[in-house]
Amino acid sequence: MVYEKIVEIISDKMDIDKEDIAMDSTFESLKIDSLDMVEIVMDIEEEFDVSVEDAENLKTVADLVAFIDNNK
Amino acid sequence: MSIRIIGTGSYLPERLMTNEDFEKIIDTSDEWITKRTGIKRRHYVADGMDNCDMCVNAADAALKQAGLKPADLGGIVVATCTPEMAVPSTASRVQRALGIPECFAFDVSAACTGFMYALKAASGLVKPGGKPILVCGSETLSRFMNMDDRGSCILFADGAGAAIIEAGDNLKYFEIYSKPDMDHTIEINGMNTLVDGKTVPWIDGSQISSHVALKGKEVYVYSTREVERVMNLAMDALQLTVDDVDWFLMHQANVRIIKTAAERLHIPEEKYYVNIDDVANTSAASVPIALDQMNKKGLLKKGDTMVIAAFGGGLTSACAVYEWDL
Repeated sequence: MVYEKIVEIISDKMDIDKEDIAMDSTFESLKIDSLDMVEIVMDIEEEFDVSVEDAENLKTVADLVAFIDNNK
Repeated sequence: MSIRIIGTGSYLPERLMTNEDFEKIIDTSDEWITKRTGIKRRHYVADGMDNCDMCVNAADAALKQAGLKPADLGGIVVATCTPEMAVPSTASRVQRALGIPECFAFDVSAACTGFMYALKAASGLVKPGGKPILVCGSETLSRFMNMDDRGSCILFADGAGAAIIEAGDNLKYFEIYSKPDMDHTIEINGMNTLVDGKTVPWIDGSQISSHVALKGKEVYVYSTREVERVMNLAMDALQLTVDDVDWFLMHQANVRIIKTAAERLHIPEEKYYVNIDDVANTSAASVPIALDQMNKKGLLKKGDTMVIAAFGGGLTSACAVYEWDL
């Protein structure tokens, strides 16, 4: 559920096909730069009611899923 | 009209507010603040000091460098979003304090882009052979901090900067912008303020909040993209590459905005100025303080090409290309 929602947010924000996003995708491979990441994090924070302080430590979709699972 | 800067000055109040001082009053740490903002300390005005006092101090230094007396000035433009009075304007109060019997004087409000807007306005008022104009940026933001908001209260500080201009050929490009779609992301209430759609007079700080309200992440993303955009437009217009530019002076809002914008434009570290560690975000005073420090430190050489960019509430932005010749 968390994973699907994250894929949806990234897909919407970055205009990437959902099929091209996988659990082990790195943000770098998805061409998501640090500014895009802050924008994605803002949507994630709203969706999951979490606060992400160190977006730069999150490198993969799996990292983001784990962060939300551990903090929501 | 193109202009020439003939003197700069700045003033930072003596009272210091360090990250360690904040550790004592809010849930924060030096490490947290430094990592996210690059700020180590801020200068705050003492009780009894105001924007007029700071502008006069900055103006004295600028007049000295220009070799002028106050009465030589033809006008004063002050950029501030924290004036002590609506009427008379801060500029008129500075005029009185400098003892100038007659000149023009008015304030400009464009938040952190304020000095650039004031400079743009003043550059339309200089005349060849006419009297020089004093342009100041000044803020007392310490009096508008919400100390319950640890995300914003650490960012802002006080200070003033000044430049004296006359007609000249050194301004190569100057554009100012405003886009209202993000207007809610930086707000400071005015003397009459809107509460639930009703106009309420602001009497004292205890009744109605007059604090800076800032949506940090939205502003961060927007500002970084905007400063990159306006600097690109300026360089494209003059067909300049980063190699052709000697100095990039960006509004000191957050070291991350400056560094990220620089990285995206491939600007090497030695080509952009940073003083945010000591000065924090002084809004309209930010650009002229940095300019004066660069000038007085001898960083600027005659003939240097500078790209000067600012961004702030509104949301406003501006970019100028200036050939330094002092």
